Amino acid sequence: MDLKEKLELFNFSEEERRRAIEKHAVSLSLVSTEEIKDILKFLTSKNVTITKAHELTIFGNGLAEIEKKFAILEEIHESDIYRQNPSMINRNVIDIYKKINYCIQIGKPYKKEDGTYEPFLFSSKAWQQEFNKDMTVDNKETLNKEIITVEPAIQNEADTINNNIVDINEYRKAHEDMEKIEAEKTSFNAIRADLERELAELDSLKNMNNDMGYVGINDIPDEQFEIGRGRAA
Amino acid sequence: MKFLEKYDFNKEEIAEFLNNSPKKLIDAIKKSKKLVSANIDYLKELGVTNYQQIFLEYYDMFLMDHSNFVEVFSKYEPEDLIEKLQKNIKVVEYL
Repeated sequence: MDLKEKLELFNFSEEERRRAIEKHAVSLSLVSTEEIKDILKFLTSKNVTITKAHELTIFGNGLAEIEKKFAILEEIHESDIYRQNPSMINRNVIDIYKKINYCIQIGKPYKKEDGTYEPFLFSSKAWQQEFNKDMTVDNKETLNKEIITVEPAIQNEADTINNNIVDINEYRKAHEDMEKIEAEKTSFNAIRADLERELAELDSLKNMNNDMGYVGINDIPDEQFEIGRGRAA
Repeated sequence: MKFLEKYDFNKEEIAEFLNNSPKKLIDAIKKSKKLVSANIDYLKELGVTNYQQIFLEYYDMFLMDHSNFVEVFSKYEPEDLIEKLQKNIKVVEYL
């Protein structure tokens, strides 16, 4: 009955609902209905939707932990990671954060052309294969520390992270500026193309006039105007 | 989580698992070593060679009641299942 009540909170397809009952009921059994509601409310406010039964593991994190993880990735404008794949909420956010920062520093793309994130951000093995560099947080305890707050024991780490956030934001700003310049360039090119087209039309009109022996309006004989007026009248 | 070493998980894999999994589920696995072991044993005996990968990705499934766990995997032809799991462990999501 409890499981059924909890599952009612999700918009699962029939198939995913079956999988949730058969294979992932344990993940839901570890949290109360109220906790699930609170987490879902938070996730909805962040445009994260749980559509797959295996994503139910994220509820084992608890609301405070999920909020903290979001806050860290939002600082560097990369919380899309969670929107693209909610299961990534389970991953160590400090590892992800450090990896993104490192990629930015060395100019290595960490997103594919379609906007999805490179798998090496989420796997130590993939990361080592890509960079031959270990960047795993030593133990789970690190996660429980406040990263952004200014408690003395972690002040240095917070300063480093905040500096890195500034670097990342500057990098992002530079990219956004480049995009604006590109957009303006495209707009100017369109205007130039219009002007060139109008110029070509004027040239063609001028050539037509030349063919008729006219160079300009002042060169049209007065009698032509008279004829014209006569006709109009 | 030392019991996982018995199943050929190396220390790095165990560390990464602890580092990237929700605390409540880690605690549940620690409390249910026998059940988790029985479920890993089943996959191992079935011939699923990449059972470590499957555990590291879908650890909550290993907390299923053993008979239910067996039922999920025994619905399929073993050879076919093993081959598909070797190609892509995401198959587990669709069982």
